[in-house]
Amino acid sequence: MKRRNFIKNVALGVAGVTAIPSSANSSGVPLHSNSRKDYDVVVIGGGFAGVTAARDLSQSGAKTLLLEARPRLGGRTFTSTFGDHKMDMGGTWFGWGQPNIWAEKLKYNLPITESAAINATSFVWYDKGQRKVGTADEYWPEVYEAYDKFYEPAFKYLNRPYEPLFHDSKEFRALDSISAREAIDALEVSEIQKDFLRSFASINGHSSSDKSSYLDQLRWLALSGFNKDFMWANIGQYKFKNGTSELIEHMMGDSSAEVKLGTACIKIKQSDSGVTIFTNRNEEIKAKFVIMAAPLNVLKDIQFSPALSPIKQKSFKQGHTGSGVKIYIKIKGKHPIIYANGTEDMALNYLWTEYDDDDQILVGFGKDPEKLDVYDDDAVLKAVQEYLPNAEILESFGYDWNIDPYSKGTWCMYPPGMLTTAFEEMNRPEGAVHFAGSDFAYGWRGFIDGAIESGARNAQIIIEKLKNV
Amino acid sequence: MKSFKLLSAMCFLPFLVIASDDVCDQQASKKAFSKCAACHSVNEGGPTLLGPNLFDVVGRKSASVKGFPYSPALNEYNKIWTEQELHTFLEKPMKVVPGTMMAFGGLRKVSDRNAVICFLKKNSNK
Repeated sequence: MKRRNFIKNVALGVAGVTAIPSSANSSGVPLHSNSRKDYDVVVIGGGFAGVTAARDLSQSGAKTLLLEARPRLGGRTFTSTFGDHKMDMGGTWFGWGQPNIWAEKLKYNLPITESAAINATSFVWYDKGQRKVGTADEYWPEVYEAYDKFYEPAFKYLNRPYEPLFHDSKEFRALDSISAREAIDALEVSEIQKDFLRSFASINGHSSSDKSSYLDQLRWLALSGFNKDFMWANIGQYKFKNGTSELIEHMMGDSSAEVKLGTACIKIKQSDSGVTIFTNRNEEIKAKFVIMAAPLNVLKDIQFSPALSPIKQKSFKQGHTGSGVKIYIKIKGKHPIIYANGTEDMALNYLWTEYDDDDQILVGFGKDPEKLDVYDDDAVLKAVQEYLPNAEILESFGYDWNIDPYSKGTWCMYPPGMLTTAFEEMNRPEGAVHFAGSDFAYGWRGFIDGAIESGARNAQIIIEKLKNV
Repeated sequence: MKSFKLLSAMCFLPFLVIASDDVCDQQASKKAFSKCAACHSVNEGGPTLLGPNLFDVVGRKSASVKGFPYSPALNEYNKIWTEQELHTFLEKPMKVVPGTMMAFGGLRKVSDRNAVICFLKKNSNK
């Protein structure tokens, strides 16, 4: 397929690039079609890790198939239109402290834009159950003082942030053994600062602050050069003007990998003759190597033969913590640009202006879909009015990544113990099957940057191995 | 549409109240469809987004947009998208068609489902 056509098809999310067989039974899918083609590498999962790996492998000359369960590429994000903007329903923000994605942004010369909240003039927060409205100077100093206490161990233990276990020690493991909540409870800060920190930990882990590892929470500051402003710049300021799909299109335009959409891997069997991938469309695909780039939280749904190591099995079953909600909300009329930060138990614990339009567009985050049904307009209105009592909602949309069978969660933060007891083993290949993805990254785990990092590294390892096959 | 009104009047159970054009508030139905619009285009000849184009979907056979890689589960569902069928599906899609790729929790409120079906009926050749 010519690059131009491919870009067009992927841009539309069209299945035109799939190789779903058209003959056969009533459902249009053959019962058993043994692929005649054998691939050097099959990459499973077409998020940013898989797309990166497929591009790099195919550019090296490896015969590569990118297998994706959904009808589109992009993994845990997709670009849609909301208001008059191209907006990403999942992963959105990135920064120039994220070397892998920023390099791609520069390489393809893709335009960026910034969240309106960078210029927020109205800050809203809660103090002992009371709603407060103030300025940046009334909000940030108390928050940043709390951050300083929270992040203190990062300076000692995470000064090589891309070598996450560099400082492995008894003390290091102790930080990983407790939750962010336990660490916050023990800090010498005020009660409102504890509320700020619990809320911050809960948006970062996208779940209750007692679910995520304290150590894993410390990474983002270290990865941002130990600078709090720069950390926010990396995690919540810059985004692609035309959405993440524009980067996917360019990366796939540089790839000669075959792509098969709408086809999920259900089983992987390894033998002396190679790897066989079984799909939900009753196909069997053979390859010398596999890069498994599906999200951590769905790996438990894939059968492996021979069985995976006990640590992998346990970790895949346990999964990462990201399980909250993200919602875009258009409210009627012009308003001051806001940045709102509630307590972690509120339906939305963060809410900020994303576009300062004539009808303002907000983005909100909450730790738990049980606390907010994003499809219920009344519930969304109630959640927004906790910060903006007079807001009138014109429309809203949130994609529930938790019920999507091919993500079963949002972004990755590890639960206590996973980094120090399972990370290395999770990254260790099982025979010819390598594991990649944002959830396996060394640095910006849980971000598109980490996905690209992990996809590129595993592709390079296999490129070297193919030289000796 | 008179027959639908009559049917509505005859039904006592709320889930059987079927949308009629007369009660279809355009603004409300468009707002309700905003929950679907990120993934589905609805204009004639519109693009495949995350899911298939929904122009003229009411009365269409399930899983029948050519070229769209429906889940095996929806391929086997084999129903006609009548208004009643859409009501049932939209309330709890992932329970009605286990294995569907459509990650959507469902519209709990009858009024929301009515509004969406109204909107779909308006975007149709019928």
